Amino acid sequence: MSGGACDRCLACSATLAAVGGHLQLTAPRSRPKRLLSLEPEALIGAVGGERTATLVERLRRFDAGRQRSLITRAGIASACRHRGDFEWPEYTSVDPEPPWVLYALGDPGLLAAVRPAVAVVGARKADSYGRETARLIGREVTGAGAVVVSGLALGIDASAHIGALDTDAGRTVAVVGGGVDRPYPRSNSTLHRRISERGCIVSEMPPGTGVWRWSFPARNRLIAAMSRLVVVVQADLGSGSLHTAEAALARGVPVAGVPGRIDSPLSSGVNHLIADGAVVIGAPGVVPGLVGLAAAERPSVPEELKEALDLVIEGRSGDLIERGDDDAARLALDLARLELQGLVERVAGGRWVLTGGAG
Amino acid sequence: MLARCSTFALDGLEPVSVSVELDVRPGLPGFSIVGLGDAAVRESRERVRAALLNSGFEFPLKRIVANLAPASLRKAGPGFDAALAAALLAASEQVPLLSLEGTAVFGEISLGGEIRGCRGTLAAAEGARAAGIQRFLVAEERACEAGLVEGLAVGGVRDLRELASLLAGRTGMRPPRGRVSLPVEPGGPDLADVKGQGAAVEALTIAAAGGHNLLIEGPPGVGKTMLARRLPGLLPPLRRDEALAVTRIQSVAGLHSGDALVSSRPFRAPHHTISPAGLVGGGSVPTPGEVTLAHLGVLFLDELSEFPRHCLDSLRQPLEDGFVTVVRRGFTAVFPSQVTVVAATNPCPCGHAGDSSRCKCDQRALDSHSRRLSGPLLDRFDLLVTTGQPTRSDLEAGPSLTTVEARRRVLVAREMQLARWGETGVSSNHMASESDLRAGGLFGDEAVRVVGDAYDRGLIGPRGRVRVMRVARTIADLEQQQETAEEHVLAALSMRLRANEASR
Repeated sequence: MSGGACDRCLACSATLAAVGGHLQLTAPRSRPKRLLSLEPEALIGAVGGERTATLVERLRRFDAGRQRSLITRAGIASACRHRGDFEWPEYTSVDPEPPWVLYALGDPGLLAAVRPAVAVVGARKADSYGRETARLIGREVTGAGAVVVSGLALGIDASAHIGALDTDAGRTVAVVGGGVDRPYPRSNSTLHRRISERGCIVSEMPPGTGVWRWSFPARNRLIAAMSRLVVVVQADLGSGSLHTAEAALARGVPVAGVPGRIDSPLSSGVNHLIADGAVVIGAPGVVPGLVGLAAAERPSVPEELKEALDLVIEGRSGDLIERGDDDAARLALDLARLELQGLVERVAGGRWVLTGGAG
Repeated sequence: MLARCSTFALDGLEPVSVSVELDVRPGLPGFSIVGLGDAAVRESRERVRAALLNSGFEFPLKRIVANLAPASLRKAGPGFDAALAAALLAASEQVPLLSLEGTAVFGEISLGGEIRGCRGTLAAAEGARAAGIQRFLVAEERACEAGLVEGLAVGGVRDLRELASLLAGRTGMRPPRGRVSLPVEPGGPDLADVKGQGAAVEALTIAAAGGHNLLIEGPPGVGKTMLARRLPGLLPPLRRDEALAVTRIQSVAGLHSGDALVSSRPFRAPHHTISPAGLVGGGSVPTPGEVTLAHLGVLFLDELSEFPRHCLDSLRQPLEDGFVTVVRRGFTAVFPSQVTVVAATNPCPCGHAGDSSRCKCDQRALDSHSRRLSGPLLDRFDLLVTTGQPTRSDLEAGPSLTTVEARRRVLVAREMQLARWGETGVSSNHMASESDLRAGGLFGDEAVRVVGDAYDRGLIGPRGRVRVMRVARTIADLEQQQETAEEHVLAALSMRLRANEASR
């Protein structure tokens, strides 16, 4: 027998995929609480309905060896609590609802708890403030030596991953609801590929599995479980990120929120979290400190460029440039110099933003 | 009896000499025209017949056959009417047969016998000079336009009777009246009307000085169109040959009133619902498109992201080559298309990107917006400038930089370029290649180093690198510096187009 997860755990995981549609029917709106960790026979009994006999038969005839070789051939590592291609992460032993198997595409070394992991999550529907903040935090966290964990969804999740990939280290883990070989949503497939090259994509579902409604809350619980801190950047009151926060609190993982405008529905969920006592991310650069890391050292900036850098930090660079007077001309030169050093970058709308100093 | 009269047809913008041969002989009365004429040419029979009778001439009740030679060329439009009438008068001996020697007649005829001007008079007159015609007779309203061609005797005629008496030698030619000189000061809207927007005005100046294509980005209603309209005034005045080229195009397109040389550079702002044929030229008889109508001037594409992709793609080759070739069944036409393109776009679908309290676009919307904007056409833009809401003090401030002041700087920079590569065929910096730019110490060591650093950093790609060098050179020209310095490159970098954000 080659490496990979053990036969029994592979079968459990495969059963989960086989009854995915049943779970969807049983719990159309809510999460299939405690079902995910049921032994497969019990799980089939609970949700199998008319197809119980077929499912039991399929479980009996499950060919673990064949499954293992398929996975290995696809370049995917797998592990369970008994054995595996990589070390079974520590947190799973205390988790109330641990996964049967973890499948990993990329570098599974990132899953070990050597480095603190910070989850940066939020809504798919995010505005430029949310996306830029997520990207900035992603850079800061990775630059400080930690791992950015998120869900590879559109919006905040994608920006957090991109922020991590902006740095030289590029350490980021994407926890996905379906199989690790299935980019979802499709528009994120480029990002999916980049993470699989430099970071790690991980899932508890076997490769090839699609997604159901319940896949997302299930994925969120894994994000919460493997992180030392969950930062919610932007989320409305119905956002799945609040599930992640809830799952984190259930596991004793601290939750932090990036405050948004009080009249913006995009931030209503985060503001609610903060009102309930979540840690407030009040300024750029504080996230690494919350997990006991020093922020990455900024490369030293020559004295004459400090003023321009301050204007970027204050977000006033664009307005000043548009004036086009002599001061603006000087500022434009300084901004170009900062850009050459990789400290700032020009974004849509004619503004410059910090790159997190990780260049 | 056979008579011959010269006239001209248009093949695209080019005049083609056409000989109208008309034969009158006994037989069943009838009038037929052969020689690949279109419907307007065939209808010409009715006009000529009525015009002759209404002008008091005789319309011979004989067999009349007219041939438009060369017979292989398709001929369109009513411009052959006057020549047909003149040939008919000569063939029926109502005017001396020899009077048509060395004479070209160009114009449309009304039923009452008046001679009307038609499109492409200037082109026809140029063709007449090239063909060695001594006398060019044209509708009086167009005589001035034809008179722009030097070394050609132009006579304006009001109607058929005047044409006949002129041919018979009873009256002399009336020389055309009107201005043919170029006005010195540019017309059009003035830059002083623009409040604030210093950066955009500077970018316009750079675009005018180096012939660079400019992309203006900004929320709705901050005056992107207003800025673009002021670019033609900043460009150097048209030289005489350029003015003739513009006048000819406008004449062929039917946009020219017929009195004088066009003196201001054209500004064309096609709507984004335009078809590719409308943009670059087309039609079953090829007619010039917007890019040709903007030749030597400014083509403004408002709401760039709304233009269909295939339209924008069709612009690439004309912008690269400076001319466009339109091939249709039986026709091939080459139209000039040397334009400066100014495009305007919102930074995101809602227009408020960068203003996080107002921009409500999600990632999907932004991605699709930048996908629409991306593509090879963006590679043709050297400059990006962002405009914002002018402040209250901007709006209340007095008049700012005027067009005349800004153009003075542009002219100086253009002179430097002309002195530098007058003989190389490079008209301005936007056409310069890297070897042109690196020749003769034009780029200082520091400047070269900054360009290299920016390339290493991934701020610019291979194409962007040359674009930044060109713009840096223009900025140096505006400051009258022989050597491009670090600051010029940095300034150019701060105005470069962003790498495509959709490709993440």
